[in-house]
Amino acid sequence: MRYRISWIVCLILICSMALGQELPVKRTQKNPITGRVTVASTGEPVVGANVLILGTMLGAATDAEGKFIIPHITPNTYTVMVSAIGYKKEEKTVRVIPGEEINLRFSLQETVLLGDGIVVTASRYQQSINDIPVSLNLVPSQDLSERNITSVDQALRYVPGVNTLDGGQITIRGSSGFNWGVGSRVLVLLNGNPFMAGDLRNVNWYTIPTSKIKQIEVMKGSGSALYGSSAMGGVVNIITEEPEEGSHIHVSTFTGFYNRPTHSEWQWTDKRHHFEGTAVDLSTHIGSVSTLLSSNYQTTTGYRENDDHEIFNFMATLGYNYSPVIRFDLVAGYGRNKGGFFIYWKDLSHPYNNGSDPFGFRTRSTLKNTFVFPSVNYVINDRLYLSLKGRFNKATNDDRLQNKSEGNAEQQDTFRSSHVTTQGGELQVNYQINHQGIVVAGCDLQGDFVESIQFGHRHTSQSAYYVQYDQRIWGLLKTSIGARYDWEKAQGIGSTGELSRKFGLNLSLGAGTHLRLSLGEGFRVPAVGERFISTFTAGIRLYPNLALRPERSKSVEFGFRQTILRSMNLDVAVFYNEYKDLIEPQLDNDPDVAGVVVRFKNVIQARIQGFDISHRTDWWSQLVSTRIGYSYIDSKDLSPGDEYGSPLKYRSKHTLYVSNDLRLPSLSFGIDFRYLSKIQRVDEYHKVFIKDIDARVPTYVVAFRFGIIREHFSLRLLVENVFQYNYLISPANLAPPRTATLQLDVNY
Amino acid sequence: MIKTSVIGLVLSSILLAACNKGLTPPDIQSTRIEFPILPEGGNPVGFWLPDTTRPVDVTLLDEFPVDSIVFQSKLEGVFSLEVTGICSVNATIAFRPLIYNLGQVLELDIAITDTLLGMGPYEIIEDNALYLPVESNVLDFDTLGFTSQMNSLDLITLPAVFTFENTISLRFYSVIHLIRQDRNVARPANFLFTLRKKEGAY
Repeated sequence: MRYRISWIVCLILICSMALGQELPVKRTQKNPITGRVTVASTGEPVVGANVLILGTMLGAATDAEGKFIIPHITPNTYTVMVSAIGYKKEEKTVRVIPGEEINLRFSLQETVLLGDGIVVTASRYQQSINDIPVSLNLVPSQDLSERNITSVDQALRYVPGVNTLDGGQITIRGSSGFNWGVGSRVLVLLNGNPFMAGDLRNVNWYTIPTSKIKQIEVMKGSGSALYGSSAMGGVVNIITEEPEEGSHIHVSTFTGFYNRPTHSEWQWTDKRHHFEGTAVDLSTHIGSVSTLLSSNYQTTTGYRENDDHEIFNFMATLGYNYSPVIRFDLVAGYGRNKGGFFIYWKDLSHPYNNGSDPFGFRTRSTLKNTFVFPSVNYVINDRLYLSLKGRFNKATNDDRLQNKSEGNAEQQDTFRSSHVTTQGGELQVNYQINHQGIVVAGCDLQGDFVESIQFGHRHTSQSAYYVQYDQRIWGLLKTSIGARYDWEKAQGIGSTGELSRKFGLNLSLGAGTHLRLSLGEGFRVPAVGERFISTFTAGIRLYPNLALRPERSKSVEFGFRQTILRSMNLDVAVFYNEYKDLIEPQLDNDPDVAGVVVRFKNVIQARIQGFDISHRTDWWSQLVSTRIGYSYIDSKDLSPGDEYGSPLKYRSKHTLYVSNDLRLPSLSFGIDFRYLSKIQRVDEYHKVFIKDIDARVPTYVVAFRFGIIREHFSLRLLVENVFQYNYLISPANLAPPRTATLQLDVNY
Repeated sequence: MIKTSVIGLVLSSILLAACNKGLTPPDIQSTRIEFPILPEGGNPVGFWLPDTTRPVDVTLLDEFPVDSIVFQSKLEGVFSLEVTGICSVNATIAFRPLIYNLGQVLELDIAITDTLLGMGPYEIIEDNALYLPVESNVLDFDTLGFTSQMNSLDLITLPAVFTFENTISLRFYSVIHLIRQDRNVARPANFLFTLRKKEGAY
């Protein structure tokens, strides 16, 4: 019933906006705007450049010859903006007169900053990163290919204020401590579609091939007013590439090995540990149809006991421009991750030995994930844009015990499993009120169906309605105000509703200077796993807690962004976040049960404040690039009790990332450095079952890259953890020793 | 240029010095443990309760000029060692020596009562010894030898010293006898007593 009402509301919304738009518009002759975009220095076409008519919903991308066409333009005066990664943005003002075709020529200059581009995550429509009211970092595709990034979470390590832990858990500005990825406080999107597993609200990173990602947008701060649950700490949006004109093939293969441990006492096997993988991408873009098939296979022996993995993933994207104003898209994929299950070490004397496996056994795990995201985008007229998205995601997880001395995992019974199906959809309408104002509104429906040994048979349904209004005042000040109402019903629990609001300002002071201010609210509905879990894992009995409430957050941020000489930018943000009812696993005294009993509970009230600074320079057409990111986090636990005022658990106070690249015509050198200060506190309950969890050190990691680049191939040598520094990637989890990787890329 | 080079050199030196550290293994201590009697090992995993017929044997390690010394002892509680490597222990143990000499029984007012409480990962060393995360007030119960059969588990303590009136010290060890139980069986509440003579005392 609730679904029906939601759909009816959506339809009314669309119809009223469409009708409201049509009434005042006169029927006049409409003309196209055509043009060509070339590189200023060489005159070669810029393929895939983004062409937007500011103040409207209209736009296009350039083809293989750099040409574009935007049909059906109502006579008026417009500003046309062209942007492309690696080039300086350019704008032209044109007056469209009835019966007259406009033909524009853009000559883009190179050397624009790599991280300075067009983003979509901040407001659900395309805009310059300089115009948004929140902190947002871009990870360009180049960062992934140069570092042989095989899992998207690895790419986020170099984003200021972001930290990734073993198991794929992301934390932005200290929003999360350490919970093995369960109940992520960062929402992850794939092309704007939520990509979270319905049972644990974690991310199956292994499903997404990394070789054809256009960019990753990392929005910081509470974003629930646009994106709903989980967007408490921020939003990560992974955007795949649009295939270039023609047919192309890309093959990437790599092989590498792990060094032996630094200390001979830690040597746990005589075997050599290695990893290898191959990715193949086929893309075609002919006429109005574009397809991309991307597959990836990789194996690793792991460097720890029972840490081997075999990963396969496949993703297909299909784009079809049915007409100049209607486009169909389909993104579908499948991923499988088979292997061991290493959660924490045995102890500091045996850090590579598995401490989380049962006595005499090893846990073998198989994870599978299938997803399908169809969508249709319809530019109804130059003011009204409609996007309808569907989503289907099925994730399965089966864990079996294998006797260490004998037997085969396949012959053992599954002792832990979860099968989750997520179905849903979203309708979004963007309405351009005038040249300076835009309204974004929509609704989102989703149902999660969980069948699990440890969670039981559960069903949750969610619906949400959001609206946002952005208005530019005097051409300099951009305001943004929005709200979203989320409703959730969980089987056996009842329903809850959450209202999240946001407000933002962006002031352009000229000369590349932008000030911004944002206030946002966030919340996270407890995951099915947190509410209903009933299992015995890693030595602890996890029991359900049906009384869990949603977590909530409020964030305030003031930011400053300065671009200097088009080759350098500096971004500084000061933030203040409050968290309420954070859910953490807690020891529970149960007199009837022998052993360690843990329940998820709403226990933490917290405040996190700090600042982050990011600086980037790209000199001489990116011949020399430098990036520096520093983040300071001051966290306080404000929960009543003995721990009042102490720092939050598993947070580093200081993080520093430095990256330098020298890119000659046929050679490239790069060096990365990461520093994270020692985490200030660990969870007392972890001490009950994890030995030496209090062993902590700061993180200092240096990585080195060397590449030979040719037109159709590149060969790279990458050395990670050059100094073989022994640090932790998560509590009681030693990072890999030095690794060396040889990577070959071939493009045709 | 020189300034930049010097700064770069200093920063590189700091970086190299910092990167050269990191986690190191703890000092390795000898894991060879000498028990008064040889534990035979086995599989200690299970849910264990005191053997009601003979919960604890206490054995003296020294000769004394008396006819015999026996110990009253009692034990109640549970010992749970999970297959996952986690254990929980919640038990109380008490000893009181009775000295028999020249037909007289000397009952000492001093007794040892200890609480064994702990929960966390246990470790099996050299197949016949256990490290348990157990806290106790008087005696050490964190390192125990064990002999396990199908339905019984004997825990052997390391030698301990029992001193009374600051004059006499008794060196002894004890063997805790446990039997396997289903988890659902109610825990016995009665105190149990056993008397054990030092072998060869008569």
